[in-house]
Amino acid sequence: MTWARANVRILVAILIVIALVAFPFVVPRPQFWVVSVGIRSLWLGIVALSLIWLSRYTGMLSLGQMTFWAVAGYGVAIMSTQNGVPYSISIPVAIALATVVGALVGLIAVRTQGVYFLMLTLATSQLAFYLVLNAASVTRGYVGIGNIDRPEFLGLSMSDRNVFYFVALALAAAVSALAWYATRTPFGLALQGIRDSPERMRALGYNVYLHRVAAFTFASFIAAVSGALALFYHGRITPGAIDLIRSIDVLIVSVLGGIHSLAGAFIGALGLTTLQNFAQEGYIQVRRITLTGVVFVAVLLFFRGGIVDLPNQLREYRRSASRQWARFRSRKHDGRTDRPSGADVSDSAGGADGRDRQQLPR
Amino acid sequence: MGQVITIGLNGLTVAALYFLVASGLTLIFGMMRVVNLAHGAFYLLGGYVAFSVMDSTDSWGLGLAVALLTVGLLGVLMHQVLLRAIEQEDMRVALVTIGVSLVLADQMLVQYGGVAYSIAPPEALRGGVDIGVADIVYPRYRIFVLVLAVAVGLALWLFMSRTRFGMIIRAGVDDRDMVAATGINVRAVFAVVFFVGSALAGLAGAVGGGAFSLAPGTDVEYLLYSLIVVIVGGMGSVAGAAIGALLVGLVSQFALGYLPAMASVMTFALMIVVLAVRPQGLMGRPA
Repeated sequence: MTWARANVRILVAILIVIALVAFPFVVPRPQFWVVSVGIRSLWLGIVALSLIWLSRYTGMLSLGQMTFWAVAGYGVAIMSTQNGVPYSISIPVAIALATVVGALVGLIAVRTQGVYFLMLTLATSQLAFYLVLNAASVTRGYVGIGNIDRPEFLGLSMSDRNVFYFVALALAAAVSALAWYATRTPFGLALQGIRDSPERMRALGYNVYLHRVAAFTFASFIAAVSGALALFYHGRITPGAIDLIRSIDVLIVSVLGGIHSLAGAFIGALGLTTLQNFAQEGYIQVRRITLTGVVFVAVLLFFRGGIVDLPNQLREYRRSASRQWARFRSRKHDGRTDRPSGADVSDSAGGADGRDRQQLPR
Repeated sequence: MGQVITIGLNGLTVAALYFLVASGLTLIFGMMRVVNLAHGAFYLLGGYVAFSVMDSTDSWGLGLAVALLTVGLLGVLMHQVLLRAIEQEDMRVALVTIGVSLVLADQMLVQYGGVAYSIAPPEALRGGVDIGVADIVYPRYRIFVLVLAVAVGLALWLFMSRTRFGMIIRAGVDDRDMVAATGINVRAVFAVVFFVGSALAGLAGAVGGGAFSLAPGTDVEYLLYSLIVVIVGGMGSVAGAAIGALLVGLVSQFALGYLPAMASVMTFALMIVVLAVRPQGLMGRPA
């Protein structure tokens, strides 16, 4: 990288930080932009980060991240409202509990691969849903647990929306930094080795199974942090917050933002939250879930790298369109029907390359 | 004693329905490596279509037939339009079907609202049958569901093991590329398999709507149970789907009868035990 490019990068990073910090003070209608869009994108982004991290660095695509989100949320809610445990204890304990649950689920789940893993984690999240619904004596069934007081610290109250926003922002930054750092450790490097060639890593003496379990546990820890945060965001938790639609929302956020980039989690969360809010408020005349589904399918089929990869994708489309156009014109001039074979070869090679780069984990 | 038999019969009925749904899912997966996560939505759609047709024509059989055809054709349409271009990527295909199921479920909510529907069985299948043991009178319709599932299972087995087409499908499961290389039009075979698999979900919905209610959320419930059934039984194996459905049906109903709070946990425990022993499912082959 040249110095000029490095400088541009630093400049962009500084601008993003300034924009994020100034955001609550400059937007109109703060209740909508800061609370409904900003904070929601942050906690949703953290769950999506756990999915993307796991998928990007271990090749395991999970639909079960909301399970650990729910364990943390319900854990704090039950301990603090029903047993009077102070937040300084209940929050860390609940997150630890969710991480342990993550480890236990991981022990089973990582035995499977690919679509089997997807199905198994999907089943896990749905069983968590039925479990909290049925264990009504503790979780209060459909009603859920409400009246959650927001924590206060250092004389600041999280009931203030700006305080909440900055706490969420700080948590998102910390978790992202941790997730990024984890990929640079020997553990993270081993994970990427296992993703690319489990047999070779096994031959080198790595315990593939335990590495996968540890990665799954780490991802469930990230999801649990978001669960505790989102509990205070809503002020309540109900089984409806972890039904299939919500689990799928996390997946949609990841795919929309770009499943190959950690930053995609937050960009996708912002995209989906904005989209859904606009649909809800009637700016877009399509039902919210239908719109979400259509956008999801469109991104999967036509914009494989999500928003993060949009410039590249568009450039690729433009290139192939101009290639088609040139071929069309040359055919008209020559009056020939068969295409020059040289163009064909380079064309199909380019297409195959593009597809390889944007493969989902298998 | 009477209670045990009744719960056992309930378990068999539920198992019959699970088998009808899951056999379609496993058939499609076995042939094409496509996990159709819209399968639950197909079930619900089948139920709703059957309900609407019966409501306007008063013909139960016609409702069943229309549901079967509609859902089967929808499956083929989904496969041809959305999935064919990306069929080499099993993960992306599974995600696209999730998107389809979201849109389908939302549109069904618009059309049919949040109330629960139930399909009235024909006159001949109403009432109860004295099964002759412990003075139990069991609903005739549920026995019909059981018989239907057995019949469909047998038909599928005969079709797969005794016909030329079934032979092609079995060969396709083993080695798709080799089958294509022998000059068989694999594309056409795929379309037929997708039709049959989806139609089974539609049929299950139309039949299941007579025994249980149809409402938003039913789609997720049946998707979840058919996933558990095929995970337990082994993806791609119709016999595995039958065994898985029996296990899941019996375990869930007995748990519901004796440990209601633990019912969903017991089903999950069953899946964990099977996966711990055989990650590929009871009848599945190693991936």
